[in-house]
Amino acid sequence: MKKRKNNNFLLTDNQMAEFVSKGYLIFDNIIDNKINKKFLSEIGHTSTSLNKKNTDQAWLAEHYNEIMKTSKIPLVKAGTPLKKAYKKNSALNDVINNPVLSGAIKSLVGDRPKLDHHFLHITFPSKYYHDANQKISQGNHNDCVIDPREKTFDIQLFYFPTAVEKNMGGTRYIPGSHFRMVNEFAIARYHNIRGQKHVVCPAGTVIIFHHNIWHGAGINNSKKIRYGFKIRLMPTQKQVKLWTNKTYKNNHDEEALYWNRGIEKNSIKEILQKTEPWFEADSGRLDILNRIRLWRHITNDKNFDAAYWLTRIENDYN
Amino acid sequence: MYTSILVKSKTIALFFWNIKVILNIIMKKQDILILYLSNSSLESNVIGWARHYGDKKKIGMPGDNDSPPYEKGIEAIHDGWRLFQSSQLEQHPKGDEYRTGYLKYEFFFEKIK
Repeated sequence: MKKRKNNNFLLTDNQMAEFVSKGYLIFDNIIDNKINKKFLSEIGHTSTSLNKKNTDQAWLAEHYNEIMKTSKIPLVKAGTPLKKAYKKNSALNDVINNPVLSGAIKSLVGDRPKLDHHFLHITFPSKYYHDANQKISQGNHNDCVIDPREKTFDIQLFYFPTAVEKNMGGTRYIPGSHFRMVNEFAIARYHNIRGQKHVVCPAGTVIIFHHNIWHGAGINNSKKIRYGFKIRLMPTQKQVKLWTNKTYKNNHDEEALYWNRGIEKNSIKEILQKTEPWFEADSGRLDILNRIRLWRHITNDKNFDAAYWLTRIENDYN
Repeated sequence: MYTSILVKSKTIALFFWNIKVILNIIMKKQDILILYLSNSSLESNVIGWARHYGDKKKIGMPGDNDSPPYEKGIEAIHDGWRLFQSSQLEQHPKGDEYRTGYLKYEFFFEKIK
């Protein structure tokens, strides 16, 4: 994380490349515990939220509705500038103004993003549900209908105010799936994908996802409520060099291919070419091409390439 | 008389045996295994999977296992699964050659139990 003159923490070049490559960035324990407690208090969480006497499923819906009515989470109209979305002394304002997080937001979607929507996900322990279909984990999906944008992207902040333990069924996500253009739950047939991950994190963790990443919620087999607050942000400007200065230049040195001594470790080119365990032999290569294309866009450098992936197919003299 | 009783008993036994055979056929259930492979060959690696059971007591669900049931598609055949459907190879539409989407190499298997 770079600290700039204006006191903003912006993402590093490698973090940006990681986001382009994998479609997410994790900030473990980034939010102070005081703010986490303040957030829980503002949404109306109490230690008696889970009442053993109230195991009726209707009570869960009632409890959820009560939180919706009484919590201090504001109703924010779609398209509201993020800067105007939350009251100054609120926990959510503290979250988005965390220096590291606000630097990451600025790096990815600029300094004037708009809020698309936000939502408090509450997952009760599975024993509270009576319907069989409520005891089944959520299918894989992405959070959009077919989204034809190839360069512009939204981000989704997932804020976890409490620790998410393994048996709490934290969000399952598929690294590197954000270039796959699918239509929401059409992919629910894919129950398990090699390399899938599950959120397990300390309290105060925020994960920033590309809007198109494949994910799904797990079953909460613990005795605790799992909370996840999602904020979706859209850019209002071209996402070019937002994390760096205008003089940023890519490394254009080409390397020997295949018969070589290996790619430079932790270089942008290496990060962009790391394959995922689930990549098909053929389509996985196309995902790498798409990463390079997005990197070209965000660095405003149409000549950038890694391992000649794009140069090779652009060498057309007809 | 004894012969007649014996014949009748055998007929009744045969009748019930036939009923049992029919019931067994009717009551047999289908287990489904869906594998996604890294290319169009059954010999390639498993990259995605789902299980569904004829037995109502068993549930296959999203995220229920991080390790694939087999390393390669062919191992399912060796283990007695019957392949009944696989995806076709399709030409890439012009102008859309570099867009990625759904997993391409889908194989449906069944076991009748």
